[in-house]
Amino acid sequence: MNHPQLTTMARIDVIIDGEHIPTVRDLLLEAGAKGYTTLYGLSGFGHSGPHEGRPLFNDRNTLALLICVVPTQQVDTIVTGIRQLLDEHHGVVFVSETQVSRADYF
Amino acid sequence: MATLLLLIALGAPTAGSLAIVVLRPTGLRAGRVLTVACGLATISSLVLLGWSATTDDGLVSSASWAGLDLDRAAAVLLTVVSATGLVVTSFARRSLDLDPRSRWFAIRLGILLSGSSLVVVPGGPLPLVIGWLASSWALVELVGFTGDARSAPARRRTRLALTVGDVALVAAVVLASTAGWSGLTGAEARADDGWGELAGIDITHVVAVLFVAAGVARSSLVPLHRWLVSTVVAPTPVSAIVHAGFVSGAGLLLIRFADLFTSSTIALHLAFAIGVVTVVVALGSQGTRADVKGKLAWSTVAQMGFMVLQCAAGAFSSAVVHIAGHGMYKASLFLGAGDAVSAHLRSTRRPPAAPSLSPTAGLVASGAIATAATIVGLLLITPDMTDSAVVLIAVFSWVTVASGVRGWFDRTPLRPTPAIGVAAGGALSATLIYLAGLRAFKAFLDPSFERLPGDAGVEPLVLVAVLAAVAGVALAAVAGRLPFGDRLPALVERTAHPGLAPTRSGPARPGAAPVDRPSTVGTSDSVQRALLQADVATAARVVAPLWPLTSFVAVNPLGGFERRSFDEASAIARHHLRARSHLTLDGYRQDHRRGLTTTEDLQWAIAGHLYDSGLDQPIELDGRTVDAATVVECDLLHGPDVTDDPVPVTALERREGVDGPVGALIDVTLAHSAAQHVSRSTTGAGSAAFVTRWKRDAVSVGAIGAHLDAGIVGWLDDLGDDPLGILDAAIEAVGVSNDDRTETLERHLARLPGWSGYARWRTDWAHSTETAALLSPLDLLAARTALEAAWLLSNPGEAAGGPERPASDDQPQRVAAVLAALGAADQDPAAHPELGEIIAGLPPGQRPALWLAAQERNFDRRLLSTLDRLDPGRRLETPPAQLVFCIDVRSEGLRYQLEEIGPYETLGFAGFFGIPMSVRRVDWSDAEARCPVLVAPSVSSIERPHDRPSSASTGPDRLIGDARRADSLEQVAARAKHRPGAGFVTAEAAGWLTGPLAAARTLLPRRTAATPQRPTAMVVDTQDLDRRVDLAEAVLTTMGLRERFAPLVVLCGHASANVNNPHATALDCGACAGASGEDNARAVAALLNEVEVRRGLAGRGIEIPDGTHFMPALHETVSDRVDLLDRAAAPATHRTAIDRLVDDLDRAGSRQSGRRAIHLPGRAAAVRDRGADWAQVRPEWGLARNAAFVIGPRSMTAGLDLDGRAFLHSYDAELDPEGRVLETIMTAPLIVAHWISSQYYFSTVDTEAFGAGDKLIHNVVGNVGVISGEHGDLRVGLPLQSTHCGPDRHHQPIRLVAVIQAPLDRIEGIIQRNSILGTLTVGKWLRIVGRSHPHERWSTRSPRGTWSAEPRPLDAIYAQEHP
Repeated sequence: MNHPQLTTMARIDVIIDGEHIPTVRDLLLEAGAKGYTTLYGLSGFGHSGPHEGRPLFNDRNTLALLICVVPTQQVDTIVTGIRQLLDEHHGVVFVSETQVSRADYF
Repeated sequence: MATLLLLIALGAPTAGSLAIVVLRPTGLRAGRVLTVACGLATISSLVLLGWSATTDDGLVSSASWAGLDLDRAAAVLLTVVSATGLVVTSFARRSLDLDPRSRWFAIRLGILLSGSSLVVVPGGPLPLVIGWLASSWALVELVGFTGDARSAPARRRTRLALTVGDVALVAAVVLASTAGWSGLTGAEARADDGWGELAGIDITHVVAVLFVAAGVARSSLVPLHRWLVSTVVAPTPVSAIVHAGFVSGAGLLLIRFADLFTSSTIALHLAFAIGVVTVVVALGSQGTRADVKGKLAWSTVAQMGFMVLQCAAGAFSSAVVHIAGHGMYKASLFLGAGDAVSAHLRSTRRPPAAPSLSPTAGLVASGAIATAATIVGLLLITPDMTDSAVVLIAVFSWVTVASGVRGWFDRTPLRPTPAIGVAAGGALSATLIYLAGLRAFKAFLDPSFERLPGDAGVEPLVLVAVLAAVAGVALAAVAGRLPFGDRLPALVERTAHPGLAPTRSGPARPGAAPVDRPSTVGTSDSVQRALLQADVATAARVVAPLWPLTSFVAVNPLGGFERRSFDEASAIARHHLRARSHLTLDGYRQDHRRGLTTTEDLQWAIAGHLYDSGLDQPIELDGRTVDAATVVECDLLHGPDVTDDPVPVTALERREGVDGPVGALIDVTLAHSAAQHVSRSTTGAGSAAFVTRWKRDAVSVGAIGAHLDAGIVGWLDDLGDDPLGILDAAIEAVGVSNDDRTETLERHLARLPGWSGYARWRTDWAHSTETAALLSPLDLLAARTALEAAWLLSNPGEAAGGPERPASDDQPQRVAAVLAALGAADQDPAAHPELGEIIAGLPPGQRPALWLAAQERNFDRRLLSTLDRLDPGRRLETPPAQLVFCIDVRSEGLRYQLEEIGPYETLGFAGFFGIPMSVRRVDWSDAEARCPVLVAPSVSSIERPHDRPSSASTGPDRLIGDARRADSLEQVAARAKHRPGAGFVTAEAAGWLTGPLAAARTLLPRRTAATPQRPTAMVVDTQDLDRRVDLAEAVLTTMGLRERFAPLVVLCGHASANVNNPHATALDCGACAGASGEDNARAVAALLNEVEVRRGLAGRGIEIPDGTHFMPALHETVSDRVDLLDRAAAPATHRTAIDRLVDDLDRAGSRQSGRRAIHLPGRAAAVRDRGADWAQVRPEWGLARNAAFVIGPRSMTAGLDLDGRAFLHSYDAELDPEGRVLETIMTAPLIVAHWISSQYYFSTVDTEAFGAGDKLIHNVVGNVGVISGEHGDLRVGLPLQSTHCGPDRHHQPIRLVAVIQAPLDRIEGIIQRNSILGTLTVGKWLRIVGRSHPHERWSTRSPRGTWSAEPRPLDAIYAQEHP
């Protein structure tokens, strides 16, 4: 899909323990990202077994998803930094191509 | 009679000290002996003062053999010194109640007091010299109170300065005596008596100058001005007495020898010059301090300069008033220095002011009003003094009044005309009262000074010229117009912080050869930067976040390593944090003797170890068989302890060792920079501001700058202000490999755990609305690595080398100890290889782990024995009231007592009552979070006028009016205290008020006040009814209260009312993020009383009867008093039930506080009032001894006395078939309790590295934390007084056990689903015990996740109880 009014950018999804979200946030901002979205309280199943926690009063110890859209040239920086982090912590990172309508937002 | 009174007034404190030496009373009694002695001294002084007031010449003479002659000035000063001494000893007695050094302390304090008194009273040379030298000695001793490296430099500096003064004084006295001075009043020492000459100089001048020199040293005047600020490392009461009396030595000498002093123009003008310079230097220094005690100390130095100015101006009676007034004033400020954090909180909470006058109009009006008040005041009441004295009084009272009025205009809520009217009236009244007081004092003291000529002192013109010049220079400095103005701030800061000087002499720079400058450019490659940033983030976990003390939050200091096991994290703590992770072996052995472990527990722990290690084969020894378990047991009981030497990690540590002087200096300097940054930077100031700050501090303020090459200083400058770039360039410069990078960064942060922790809080945990200056771990790392690199580059050399890891060669000693314990014939370790193998199988660090496991086993056995009984299940009848308390361990005892008294039902629930909210009271400027820090507030609650009619005098308007009035008065006081030059008159005048108040506060016990009823309602601020019903349903469901509502349901939050305590919030509700739970209780109760909400709840199956009323309450934990709140909102039908409940709560509180009294010193009856006592460093025990988290219905624990050691969370498994509620409990309250338990654990096992140390020497810095003494890193964790009872541990450091009554598969499922629980249990951070049904035995869950029913002796106990 290459709509003439859309710009191709990279979408980065990071799933990591909620307590590490501030760190990932700082990495993204340092690399030049202009915004992000976080979602706490995820569940699922993966490399280290099930993640189905639904704590009511604990955002820190649940899995969280951080979504960020950046120009493709920033991907290398961000992914390298996050990979380094994931050496020490559980988590995954997905990078995909995405289309945005207002490129100057990102 | 006069002789006897004088001897008592002067000698009683020392007699008290002697009595303590001879009788050797215990700590509290030693304090009492000294207090009684000081009481006698004070009474005698008061009688002597009265006596002196009634004689014409004001003299009270002793018998000639005593050689003492009290005049009125001396009588006033003696009374002030004695009374302050009484207040301070009484204060110190309670502050040091369990301190093992209290006797040592009391002995020296007594000598200090007698010595200070002797200096005040005119007499022959001998009493003066004895008093002077004795008090010097005692003070130096007291400054060294901590007896460690922290106080050594201060002690050295103090001793040096005081020795100079001692020598000068003795020389002056010897010279005067040889010249024929008999020395009663000093009157015969007039110059015209012709004492002769010394080396061509009139001896009068020599002696007078020597006295001035002695005074300079004693009063910390320029050039010996730096010792006083160092003494803040002494306990608070010492500072109080030093600043109240001891330090006034210069004034005392000048007053006592006024004749001599005024007749020596050299001494007079020298003192005048010193006074002026001291005032200027000290006022400048005061402004640079971020710590409360440092500020106070510099303020005193300025006051001493002013006191000398008064003497030099011939205003001796004013100087007496000043010494007495300032002494009382400063003593009360020091004693109350612990209030700084609470005062800051009160002040920032107040609503912002909207001044009615513009700043310029306010400035003009305040100047005009002060001028008018001064002129009118002087016209109405002319001080009968020298012209110079009048000038001095006029100038400084003008400055004070103008400053105060300016503060009033800044904040007053009044309109301009009434505001000006009040200001003018207040200014004139204050001026008249001050002048009248001075005049009255002058008249009273006339007999002491009437012999002096009317024009004694420096000429008025000189005084005016100098004051004008100083004011001009000060204004030019403020405007940045001084030629060397850019270097001035750093110079002043350097003077103000003697602690930044090297503690030991650092290695000097070899030669002056310039060194090569490394690259200043950090990598610009964004990938490399990202990698470095990730490493910084990973390294930052080495320290735990540190919340500001305005909301203390308990954390696991090793929380960053929770993903690893407790044992692994412990090893990291030992090797990297230079901290202990367990008690010493001796500590465990002591506990063993106290019964905290039995041999059986020990054998259980040993069996586990032998099973794991496979070394369970018996050995042969002297022909008998000895079990491996016995060998290990002998090692645990008798083997020598070993301490791990810290391993050098950073390049500088490799050069000079982990504890080397340069590293220490860098740490101190950076802690200073961080404190300055946080306390002075404007809102939102970030990395760039901090970079500027630390570069300047390192090069121009801290002593590290002296060791840097000029080229390297340039390199530092050129590094720019991007912290990531600086960090990259710095580690590149010293050559840190990528593999070592994280570990190196960890060590850098671990060297400053306080500020690094603060930075972690600010970066990772602070709310987005937080306004404190930004500081990140990266900022600190950039600074610290750059400074290490700068020093290493400036001072090329080789690393010291040596082993990377310390070799642990304690094996032979351990084997020898075991052999000795077993009584082996051949005690040579080499002869017993099998035994050696068993010992080798247990690494030294593992032994404390076995002891810990044994202690926990012991605790679990006892707890489960207590809980191992049939749960009778829920009661069928509805109780008259249900009370929901916080799960906090302090609620447990109160619940037990209340249930013993009446048929009440109590529940335990997290004290924020299940709605993560922010709250804003009507008289607060901003909302504050009131929920566990694990979650962000999801709703806000606001206070509003309640629905019932209220008048302006009782409604919320009154609260707002009170807050504004308090704010404007506080601003008046703050300006009048802190504006340059304003504090002199303020201290002189205010001391006469604050001194007696401080005395009353110390000597007369106060009662803890009831929580006031607020004339408002606290409501959840959302119009969305569904949302409100959702919240209400969630609260009741999580509480397990969906049916069987009692007519009265009380939601009881808790708070600790204690004063003068920087760590006050550590005693508040942990579920409310270190704050009171009052507002949550009010908001949730109001929500559950709403008719629409109840209707909505009914639609969801929760029927709350119309006759049920929810009522908020607050449990004040120092007094165990429970106050029902919003009583006016309760229906009249409930009045009888409420009255009865109030009575029963009162009885329960009395019983519970009686129980707690067992663990606290002092009278049992006074336990409830400890919070109101400002001398208390241990108002209550807080959550000390917490050990278990019990989740189950109250019927399971009702009637059991759990000794305040358990968090109790209500839970009924039958009402929660899906396990949602249990999951919530296990993932939030249990985690918070684990943090609390860990905080107590680590603060207990290492009171210095993980705990905040001794509260007696705490010094609030930047309103965010405390430091110990004058400088250094922020302290983390809980103070010594929260965990220890004197030298003994009060808290038992064991890890938390969760006891859960719920189906085991449900518990297991929750652990599996939530990785945090899996991590904590596998890593042995947390133990889990459960039983599916009330009639089952308890099962323990192994870290690997298998459940096993508790074997005997529980079986035995069970059989016994349930035959």
